[in-house]
Amino acid sequence: MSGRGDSSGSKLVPVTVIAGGDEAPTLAVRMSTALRQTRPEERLLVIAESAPPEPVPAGMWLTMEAVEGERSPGCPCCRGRLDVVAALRLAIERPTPVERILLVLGAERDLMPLTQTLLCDPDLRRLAELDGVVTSVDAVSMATRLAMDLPTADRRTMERVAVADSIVIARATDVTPEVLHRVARTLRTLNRFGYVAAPAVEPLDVGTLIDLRAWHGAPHLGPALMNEPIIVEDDDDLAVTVMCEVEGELDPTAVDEWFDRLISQYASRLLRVQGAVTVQGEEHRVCCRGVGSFAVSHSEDEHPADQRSHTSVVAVVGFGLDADAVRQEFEATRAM
Amino acid sequence: MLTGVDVVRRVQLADACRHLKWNGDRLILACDDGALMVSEHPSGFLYQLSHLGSAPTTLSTGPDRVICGALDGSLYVSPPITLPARRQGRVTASACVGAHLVVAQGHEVHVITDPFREPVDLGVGAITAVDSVTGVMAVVAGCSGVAWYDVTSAVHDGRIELPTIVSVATDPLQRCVALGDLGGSVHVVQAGTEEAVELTGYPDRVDLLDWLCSGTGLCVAADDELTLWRPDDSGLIHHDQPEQLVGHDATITALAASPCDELVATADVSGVVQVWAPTWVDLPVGSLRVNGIVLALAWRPDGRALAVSTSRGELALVEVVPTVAV
Repeated sequence: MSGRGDSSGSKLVPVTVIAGGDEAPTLAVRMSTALRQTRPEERLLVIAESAPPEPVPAGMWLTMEAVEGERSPGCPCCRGRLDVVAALRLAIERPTPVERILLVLGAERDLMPLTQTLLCDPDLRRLAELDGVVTSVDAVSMATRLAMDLPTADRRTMERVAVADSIVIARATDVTPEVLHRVARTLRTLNRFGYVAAPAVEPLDVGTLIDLRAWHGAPHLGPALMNEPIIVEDDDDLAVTVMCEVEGELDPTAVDEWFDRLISQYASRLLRVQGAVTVQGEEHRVCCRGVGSFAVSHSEDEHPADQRSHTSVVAVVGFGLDADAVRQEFEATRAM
Repeated sequence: MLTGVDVVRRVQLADACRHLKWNGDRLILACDDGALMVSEHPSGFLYQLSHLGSAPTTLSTGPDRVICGALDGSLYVSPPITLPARRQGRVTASACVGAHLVVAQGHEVHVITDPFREPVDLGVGAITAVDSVTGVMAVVAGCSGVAWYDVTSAVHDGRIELPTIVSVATDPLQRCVALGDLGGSVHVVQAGTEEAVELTGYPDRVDLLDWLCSGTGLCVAADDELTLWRPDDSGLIHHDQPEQLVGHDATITALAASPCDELVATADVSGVVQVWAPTWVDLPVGSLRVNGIVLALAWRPDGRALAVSTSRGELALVEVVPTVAV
């Protein structure tokens, strides 16, 4: 793995991905309206594949057609979103660049190529930073699936829920409080990172959905989340989160080999890898993050001191992971 | 070779300028605010030619011809013609092929100068680049390959499956075409024979490549690496490694070969512009700095001036005087 800083020396523009299926454009309008009220000076742009569902101020919404290119023909984890690269360059490489971008993922689009593009594209890495992923889930639809013992969600929705940093439950007042609790609980078992909110029941401050830098540095996981049971099933359609945690220093060669093995074994099924590891010989923890076949690392010394720790923790999210093997192999990297 | 490189004029534009082309002595500029402008030579007088509905995405020029496409599907064409019904969606590429103007939108390519011609899907996926190969032939590249298209007879042939192509440069001697891909490789392909050579090892996608005017070298840039490949007489390249040209510390964002001399101009995100005589030395022979990320470079057809535009709206006109040191 290798890290690379911003070569232009300017501040990276935060990009929040809104991956809510059919409801994503509406959620983007709501978020942008709220942000314009709370931060009127901030130059905000929404980039989407469709026109805004409601009127928005001129110049605030950029419509792009989706274009996915492959690095190698037929390789699902090597897709790059050419439209996103072009749109973000257009928005940022200006005399007065935008200061925040909400990027709407179309209902028929997979999240993984988009997050991978945001993390690894050379142009985007010098211009922008993935701030977080917001997804919305329809309470009625999910409650119906749960009641009928159907799979919790389709694979695309599962992918979005599993890696989201914020999950907004829509139509929360159309189900009973008990059902809503069950839906929230289900989402929590699928997602170890996110903040789950039902704005129809409890007002939601848009500020909690942005400025997260959630894909940078150690994963933002509280002890309560980490103690919850982890679903481990041999099911390729179920996204699982494997929490790997070790006290003490890790062997640098062994942990590098663990990352390499993880990526080579699961590349196309890895939705998110994020962690911070204490490596023998390094003064600070090494933060790592990746999607699919891509991973990058940087030293934790660029983060505020109060956010640092000495525990090695890596969260791995993906489909069909052998959770026990992943965890045991990580624990085996502890330095002798 | 020593080369004089002097900025003779700087102009502040209202917005970033991402596309620059010379049309004879006239410099055409397409700015992100939709303004399509012209700078007359030698007066430097700058005036607005048109205003597109959204940000321009492609600009091409040919003898007495200009075509500019935009994000919302709008087109500007000079000299004016009756344009086909406007189609929604970004114009992704354009080219002047002989007397014909070709535009690409989505998966289709359209010869807009022929009123009876319907858009055609060449089977190369979403089109990313189009270039003129000869007076009648265009090379069309996309997300799943490349194909050749005869703009007069509408025959398309020779489709080759390749990873996503993001840049095209036609050999000035018309022997072959160089195609940069998303995965960090260059494919040098001979039209008709489908013989292709893959040049690998670039750190990122290859957006920038151009042939020296003599056809004796292919310059390729990716990230902060700049290299020179020397082809054989057929235009194909059989070396394992290119020659490295050392001079940029930041990501290279623009590259253009002189149409008259064996000079190449490159520029990067920090605003550094370098002029190279790559077949002579592996270091820059001229250098200057502009304000902002360099978005476009264009040589005047006489090879004595270079236009540079940046993300901060600066337009610099640079005089270039090649001299041979004895």
